[in-house]
Amino acid sequence: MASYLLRRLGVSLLILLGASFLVYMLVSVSGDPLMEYRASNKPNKEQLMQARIALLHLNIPAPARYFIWLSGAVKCVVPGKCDLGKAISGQPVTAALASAIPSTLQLVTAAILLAIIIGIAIGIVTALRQYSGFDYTVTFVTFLFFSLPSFWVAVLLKEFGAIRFNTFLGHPTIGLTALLVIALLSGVVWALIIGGTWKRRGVTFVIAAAAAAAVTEYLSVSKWFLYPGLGVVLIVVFGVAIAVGVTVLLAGLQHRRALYASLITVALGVIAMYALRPVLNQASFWTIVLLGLAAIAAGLVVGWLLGGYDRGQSMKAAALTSFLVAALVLLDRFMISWPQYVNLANGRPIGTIGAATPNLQGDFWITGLDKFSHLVLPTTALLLISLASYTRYSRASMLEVMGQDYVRTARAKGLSERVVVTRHAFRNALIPLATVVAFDIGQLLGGAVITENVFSIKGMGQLFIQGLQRQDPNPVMGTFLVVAISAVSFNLIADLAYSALDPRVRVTA
Amino acid sequence: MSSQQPDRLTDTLDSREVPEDVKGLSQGALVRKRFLGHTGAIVSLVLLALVVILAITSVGVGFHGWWKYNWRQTPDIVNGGHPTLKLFPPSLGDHPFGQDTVGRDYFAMTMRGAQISLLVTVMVGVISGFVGVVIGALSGFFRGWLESVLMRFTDIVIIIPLLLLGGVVAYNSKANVFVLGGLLGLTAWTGMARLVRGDFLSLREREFVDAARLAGASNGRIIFKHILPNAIGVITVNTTLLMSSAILLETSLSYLGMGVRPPDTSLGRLISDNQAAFSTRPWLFWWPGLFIVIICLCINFVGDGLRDAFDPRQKKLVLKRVKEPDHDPLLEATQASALPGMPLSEIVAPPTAAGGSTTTIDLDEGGR
Repeated sequence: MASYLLRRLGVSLLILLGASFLVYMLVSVSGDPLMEYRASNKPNKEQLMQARIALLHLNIPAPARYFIWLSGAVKCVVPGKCDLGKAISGQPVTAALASAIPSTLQLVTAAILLAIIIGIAIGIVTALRQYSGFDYTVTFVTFLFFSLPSFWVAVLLKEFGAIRFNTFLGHPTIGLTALLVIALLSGVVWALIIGGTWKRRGVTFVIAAAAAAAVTEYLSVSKWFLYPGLGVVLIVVFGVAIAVGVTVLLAGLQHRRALYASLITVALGVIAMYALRPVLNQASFWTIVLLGLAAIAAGLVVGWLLGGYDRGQSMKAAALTSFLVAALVLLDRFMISWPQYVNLANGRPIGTIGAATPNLQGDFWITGLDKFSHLVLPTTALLLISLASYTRYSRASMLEVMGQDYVRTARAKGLSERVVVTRHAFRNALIPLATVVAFDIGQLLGGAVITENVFSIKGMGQLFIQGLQRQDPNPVMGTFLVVAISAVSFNLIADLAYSALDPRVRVTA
Repeated sequence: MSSQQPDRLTDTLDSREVPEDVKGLSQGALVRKRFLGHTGAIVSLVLLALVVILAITSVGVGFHGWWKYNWRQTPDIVNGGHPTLKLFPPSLGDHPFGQDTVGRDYFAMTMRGAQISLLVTVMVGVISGFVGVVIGALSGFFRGWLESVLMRFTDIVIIIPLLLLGGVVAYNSKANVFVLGGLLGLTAWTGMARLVRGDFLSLREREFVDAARLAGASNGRIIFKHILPNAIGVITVNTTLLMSSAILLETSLSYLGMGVRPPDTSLGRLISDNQAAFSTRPWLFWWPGLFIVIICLCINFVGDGLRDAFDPRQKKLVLKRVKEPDHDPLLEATQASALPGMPLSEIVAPPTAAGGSTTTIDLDEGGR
């Protein structure tokens, strides 16, 4: 194992060297850093050119210049000694990277996590209901998302999700036409999802359309988009739904103790919501983390106390329910601060530029909302596009697994379909996904170029593309290096994870 | 694939009633039959063909098309350049897609853009398909040092950012659309090479290859006559996927101002040029986007149809769901619990053996 790892690391290093040389050559033919001076009429033109030549070592031919760059880059192994050259503005590339990496991470983390969770969930359900109306609908929608150019999505989101939505917030009433469209759409979607006989579809359609119309009308009349909130009633309703859902997934409804444990944590969550009001008002980031951990711990304790002969399942179900209810409470608290935030943002809360409002003063809730309203659209854009591939991959993988002999054996043993799906099929279906996920993360770190460009977020992609456009070689090389290292290491992680997850695959030393 | 053959055979036998001579369907015939049965793929193929024909004949390539304007003429702006396309009653009008800010006919421009985008797409598909197959086949078949060298080279090419090539093209003024397509094609082959290599690695160990070798076949003959035809499924499916990602790549590059350069135009270029006009002339934004989506969606569906046609294994699984009420209640209950759409009241508690004790296998079993 150790020798395998060493060999892989050595090879990765060679790959990095080769690729960085190639990229350096390509960068050197992709622009002339002296271009802006060649055409200018400035009196000190010669001096400026000389200064830039000295800054970027342009008097040395590119292949030799690469080794100067490399000797600086090698020093990055020692912390603090890193030297990736300077941008034409004179700013060290390492400093630019240090500010770009966090904002890219902030942007892609939520998108990756949500894409993985939602994508896998949808993929599994479509695989379980292969060739149903739901499957066909989802297949079509994923293909559609897959075929959307990311800049198109981003520009559309910016126009409709931000500019028009902000205008809508000025008069948050929903007209009759919009109401009818929403009702019809939700009726059609639910009829497609639930499926069944035509009669059943018709009933589904009517119920879903009526429900959607009622909800929309309520949102419109109560000006919910300006003064949102869940309120204790909705928290209880959602909480009970979560408790039942989690129990069905993790333990099965016949496991009554797990269900009771989950329901009790919902009650605890609602009580805590009132008890902790003063604490929440003064909250900071770490208070929230602590409270989240406390929620999980409370769930575990309740599960343990009520667990009976099968404590593990009750504990898991209760802890997950507790965590999700805590998230609901958190959401509600954020919503309470929303009107104040809208006020601070001059009535146009959803941001289209940057990752935060400059000079915004406010407590944890206000700054949190600010971050949310700036990141929600770029994250959605990234999410929509990566969602499609995860759905397809997990569907294919699940279909493959469900056809395996061991699934048939599990059924033949008399296991419930829930156990067959969650225990035997789902986990094995995840194995090939590990590779895809690891590879995607490596790619996405540098790959949000278009989204960052449309929403003017100063991340890695922006650094890269601006370097190219300004014919500024060092930032391009710097971002390339970070992306290449992350891609190579996630590739390695993917291989190791695969052999760890699937015992049939052994790494050969 | 072979497991499907008997079914297909009996199907054809049944349909003909009296078989004159019983012939097995060839691999090609099987694939064609399955592909033609895939409605989505066929509809997409026809639609794609229509788009291609429309793009080529309307404004012409080198010759004069049937549309009255071309993409360079600047007729007078009519009605603020609004699209004249009407669905009820259907009529094209003078400028069905509207006009841009200087009055050029947007239908002609969109068609020209579609031509260029399709050209780049096809170039990327052909070039990277070819390079990927050659590299994958060589490394998968010969293995040894050749494989290590080629695969390390693939690893290097994988991490070269494609945007950089756009930068190279944008900087060199002599570089035109063909250079862009060629460069992208020369770097987009990595996925194909890996997949083809994988296929070759498993195929070269099969008995029919040993048999061919014993019969005295040369390496070239084994590759072209025995292995390549068996890998054709992977190759075709991946070429379509390559092409669908190529059109997105080209449009994204053009959007960033690094792909197709004026005087050429492309669908991405049109969107990029006109995005500032979104609030005043939204049609300048919608039409090219619509064509990108149509082309890409069609290619993806064709690829899906091809995948199903070449690899019918996925088709075989039909989850047995019992719907009739007179069936075993236990079976019903267990299925209901796994299917989120079903009402929970239908669930009859199964004996603990099914739901309880066996489920204590813990999460860390799989999450190690």
